[in-house]
Amino acid sequence: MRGRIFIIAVMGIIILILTSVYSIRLSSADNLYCKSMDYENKIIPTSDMELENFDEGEDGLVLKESSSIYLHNIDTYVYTMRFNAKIDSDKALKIYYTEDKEENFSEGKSFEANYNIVNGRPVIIADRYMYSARIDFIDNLGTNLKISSIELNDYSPVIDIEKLLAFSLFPTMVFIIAAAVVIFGVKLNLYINVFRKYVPLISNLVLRDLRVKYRRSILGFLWSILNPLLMALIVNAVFSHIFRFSIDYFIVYYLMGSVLFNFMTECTMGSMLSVIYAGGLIKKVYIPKYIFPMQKCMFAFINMLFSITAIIAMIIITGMPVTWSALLFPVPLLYTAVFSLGLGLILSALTVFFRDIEHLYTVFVSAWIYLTPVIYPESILTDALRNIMRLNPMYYYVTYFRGLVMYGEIPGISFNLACAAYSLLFLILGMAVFKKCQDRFVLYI
Amino acid sequence: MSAVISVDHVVMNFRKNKEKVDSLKEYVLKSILRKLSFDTFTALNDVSFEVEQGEVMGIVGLNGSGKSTLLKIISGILKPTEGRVSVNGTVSPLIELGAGFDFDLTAEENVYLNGSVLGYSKKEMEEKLPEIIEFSELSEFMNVPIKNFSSGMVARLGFAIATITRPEILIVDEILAVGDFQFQKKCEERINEMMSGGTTVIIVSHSIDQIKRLCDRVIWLENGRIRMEGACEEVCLAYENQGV
Repeated sequence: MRGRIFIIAVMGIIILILTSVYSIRLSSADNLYCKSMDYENKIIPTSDMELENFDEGEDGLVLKESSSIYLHNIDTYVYTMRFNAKIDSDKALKIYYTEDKEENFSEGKSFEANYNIVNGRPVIIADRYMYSARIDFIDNLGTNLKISSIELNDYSPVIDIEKLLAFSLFPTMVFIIAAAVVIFGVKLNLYINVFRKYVPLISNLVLRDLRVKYRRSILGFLWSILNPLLMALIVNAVFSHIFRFSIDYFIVYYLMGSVLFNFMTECTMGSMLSVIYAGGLIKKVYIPKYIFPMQKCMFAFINMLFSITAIIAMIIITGMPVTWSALLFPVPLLYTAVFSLGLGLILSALTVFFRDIEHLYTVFVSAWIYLTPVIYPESILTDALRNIMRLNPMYYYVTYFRGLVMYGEIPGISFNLACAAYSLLFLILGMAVFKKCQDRFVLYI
Repeated sequence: MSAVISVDHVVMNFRKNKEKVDSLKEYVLKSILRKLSFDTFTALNDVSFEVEQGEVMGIVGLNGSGKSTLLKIISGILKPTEGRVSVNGTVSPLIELGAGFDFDLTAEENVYLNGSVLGYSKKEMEEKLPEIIEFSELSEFMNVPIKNFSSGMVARLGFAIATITRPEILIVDEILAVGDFQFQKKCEERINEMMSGGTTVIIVSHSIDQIKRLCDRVIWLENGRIRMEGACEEVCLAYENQGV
């Protein structure tokens, strides 16, 4: 058995390496920066631009029908043109250019270009020599533009972490699961039967936790709704006025992030101590021990459902428009739940042996919440920080959740696979660590 | 007759940490300073036996001879360091009565909770509830939180739940010592009744009389080894006469 697990692990690592080489190549194939490396890199700040026909809005510049940006004295081969800007539009641009100082802009030397979003910034491919250029925003009436500079031929190397997760980690996880099913296939039925037998225990324990939590306060279930609402009001008062983040419906934005993050925290913190607290039982009766972290996660899930009522209430109060995509909200919740269960399993197993993990993890979580865009908008981060954030699983879940409800966006395949990759990775790790340790729990409790 | 429980060359070692290391900080410090050391303590050493269906097996031995460890291994709570244990059938372990009772909940709520700990569904427990109430003689107290119960009442409730579900294998550790003689008698009757229904029973007790009354076969453990195994009378006699 050990030999076979070892072989799977080695094969898993090989698959991981091969697929990551492939997915790095895949992402650099559509990586506009690769070719730009051959050309001169130039940054043009707003002070060197000539802006025509813009209105000053309260939130940056507002485009009109005939808005243009003039760039003089470019005098270089332009492969890519990157806008360090936030443009609330995905319409095409029309670019006129000249190849000579004396030349005027003409229809003959113009092209239309679409934005490619690379690392959250719009980039267009020009692929020609320009002496000067005029960028026309067609059909962009009344959209906001906040621009700080335009960068030509930027070649900062990019490893697209999302693609790496989606096309490398995810297939590896699928392979490991398939291999495990083949190896443990015979026992699988047995495990399922044992689990079925203990389903009533899980529901009893969850009920007991709910009773204990809500029996002792008069407001009872209402607290689970009021608590996040009050927190959101405080954070809203502090942050939206002091920092002036440019987020519409900031209170909903914050509430969605914090509810999801708190769900993860409650799951993992609850699981972490669940095995130790169940020591009395574990010493006396045989019970599959994963029941305890699992039960804590279910308990946290139910609590989160109450908090979601708070989000709904806030959406109604603020009158935020919601599209049908919001109905998909259980998907990110599911990803988060699986991830949290996995992390909870790891923590609960290790905490039995090393009790101080409890304290370490508490500190870790308070750092983690700042590495997740819960309270601030993603756009305030530098590119480097943003790339680091893409390593953070909670970033994907929070973004997914908000995208569906607040912006009516349904994330694409690679985003979904990245979410699933993290969930599966932690679930598999959690199960492996837990299974390896569980026989020794009783000796250490 | 087939062996329901077979214990095959079981060895159980415990680590006796000189100083208990239970934090990451200490673990790291001590492994750097190379101060991590463990003594092992062998609680069971090469124990093998089989129990057949319907048999009542007694285990006797002095304190620290490994009786409870053996029961915990059979009921799956502990994993043996070496050797194999195979158990065919549902086990209802009575290592301690009322395992999993929540003292804030009422007796009735605890019946369902404890039932689910032993792996029984709510529906099964609902069917058995009247019988449990009758056997434990607690009908007036079913809606009282069991923190207000006396230890005898808790024991009665625990025994009633554990035995009502007719497990195929019943493991009893020293619990028949609780309660008054009337209840003890009732428990013995229940065990006898179960035996005639084909349940396999393993009993640990310091009361030789009880062992003699109930058991077919007895194992005498001494310092983690089987000193003697055989018919009840024979082993009990030898056990009683040791050191004389």
